[in-house]
Amino acid sequence: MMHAVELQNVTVVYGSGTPLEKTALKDISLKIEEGSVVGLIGHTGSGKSTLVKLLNGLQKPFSGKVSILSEDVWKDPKRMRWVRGKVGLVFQYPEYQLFEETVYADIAFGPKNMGFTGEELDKTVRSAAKFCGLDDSVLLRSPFEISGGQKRRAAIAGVIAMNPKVLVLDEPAAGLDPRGRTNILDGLMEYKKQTGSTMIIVSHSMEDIAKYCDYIYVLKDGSLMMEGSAATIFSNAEGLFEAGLDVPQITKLFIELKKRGLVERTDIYTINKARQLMNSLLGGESDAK
Amino acid sequence: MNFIEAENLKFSYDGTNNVVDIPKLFIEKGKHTAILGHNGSGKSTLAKLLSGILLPTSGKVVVNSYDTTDESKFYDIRKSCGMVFQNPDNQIVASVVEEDVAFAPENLGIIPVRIREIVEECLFAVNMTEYSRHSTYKLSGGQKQRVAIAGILAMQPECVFFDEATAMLDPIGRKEIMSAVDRLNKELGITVVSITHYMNEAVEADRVIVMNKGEIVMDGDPVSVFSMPEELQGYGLALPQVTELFYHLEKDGYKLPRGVLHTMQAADAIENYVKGKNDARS
Repeated sequence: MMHAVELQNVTVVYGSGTPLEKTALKDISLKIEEGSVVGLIGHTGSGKSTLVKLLNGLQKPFSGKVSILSEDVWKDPKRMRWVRGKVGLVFQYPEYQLFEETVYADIAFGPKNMGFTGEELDKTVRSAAKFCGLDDSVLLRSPFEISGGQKRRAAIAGVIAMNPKVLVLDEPAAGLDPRGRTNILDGLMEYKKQTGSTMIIVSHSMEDIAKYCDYIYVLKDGSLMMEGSAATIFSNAEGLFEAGLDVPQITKLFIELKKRGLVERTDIYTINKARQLMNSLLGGESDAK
Repeated sequence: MNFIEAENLKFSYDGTNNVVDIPKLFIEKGKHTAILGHNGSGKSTLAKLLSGILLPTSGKVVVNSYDTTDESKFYDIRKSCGMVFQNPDNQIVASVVEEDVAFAPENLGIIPVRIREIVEECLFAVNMTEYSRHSTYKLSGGQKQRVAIAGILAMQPECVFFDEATAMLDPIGRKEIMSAVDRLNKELGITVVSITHYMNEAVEADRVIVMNKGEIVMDGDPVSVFSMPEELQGYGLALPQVTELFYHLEKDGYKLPRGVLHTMQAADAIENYVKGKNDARS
């Protein structure tokens, strides 16, 4: 199977040779399977954003190799354009990058520069807008007159419109209300489902990560500290606390209940699973243990 | 005593639609009030009105006994209310951390020796002391936000508004900010108004106000507001996970207390339920 992303012993150093030299990433190796949804978590300053920038060649590794779809990103500088077309990067607060006169024109900017025209361009723009939950009525408005949530959607649609094979999102739902979060993330999952692309989500929301990601990487001080499925990661609450992170509130409840000898499992991170287990605990069947 | 009073408060950006329409609202001095609402519910506009950044289209806002429309009291109002915004990039003015924090006290004409003390205290309060000589643009989002908060604290305001100020922070950073907020509120007696989407933060407040379409639709202490899950969900808000679990369990027919917000409360309630069940059996 081809890997969407592969990092081999990647190290990134900022300000090398200056008094402010800082190693942002230390010897990172990872392989992300095509079509998976991967979560990237870590405390502030753990190197998440640096890692994200490596993925489409915005950051050059100090040492090590970065490959996208089995191709070495830095081997041929002329291929960088190809890399940027394959890896869509949505920065934190992407709505600050909106600039066109209409939402439509803003979404069309990327595909237009990739050579899309006419009907094909129109189709791409509208389908990207749809994945992001934007109505046709919004498309002709100025991106500066719409609500914050709509701006976020418009900005993400601008990246989706380039049909990236790997979509990297740095805190896509930060600052949105719960309904807005669910809408955006569900829309992105739909895009993933229909196109088979790979998604990499950076988030501080353990609840969102638990809900959407197949596989999770945990960064601590620039090193890869843990990796695994949501169940594996969230059952290691102590490791996460040590990494300056948290576990979903529901997991905390099960950790506390285990301390009190009421349950055995602590790898619970969704409400549905918790509800099932609580039903057997409270309902008389003692097999919850 | 009320620090902020609003009456017949209406505000419109375009002259026709009222984004905020509130007959009466008091914010008590020294209390921590949380304002919840989905995007576009008018909560940020309300915060700007209550802090005198925006002036009402009609009605009146009185901050610290000054009417916000009274231009001669402009500086007094600004000095009494500080605001920390969602994106620190919009708020940081200097290129070095300590200079950014010193910006306000310098402009308030405080003597340099005292400025140095203030800057140190404020950076310490947000756990950024070791970064005092760093350049602001190289900091991560969370670190920048902490600098922005320190910059507001340096004005020594009586009231601080937090407009989704923790949205960019990691859980630890968020906890640090929350404990700093708590310290401001409980130890220094600063009135705090926080606008947040994080229910776990709202449960720490003394009072929770829920806004929808520019109106206040719920108002009370956290327990009473979070005891109404259907209503909250109707306004586009989510419950804390344990509250949601308890709500489902109640639907499943278990008699558990309502308005459970914290992990410990939930664990206690479940332990008691199991004990009660076992006692009934034996």
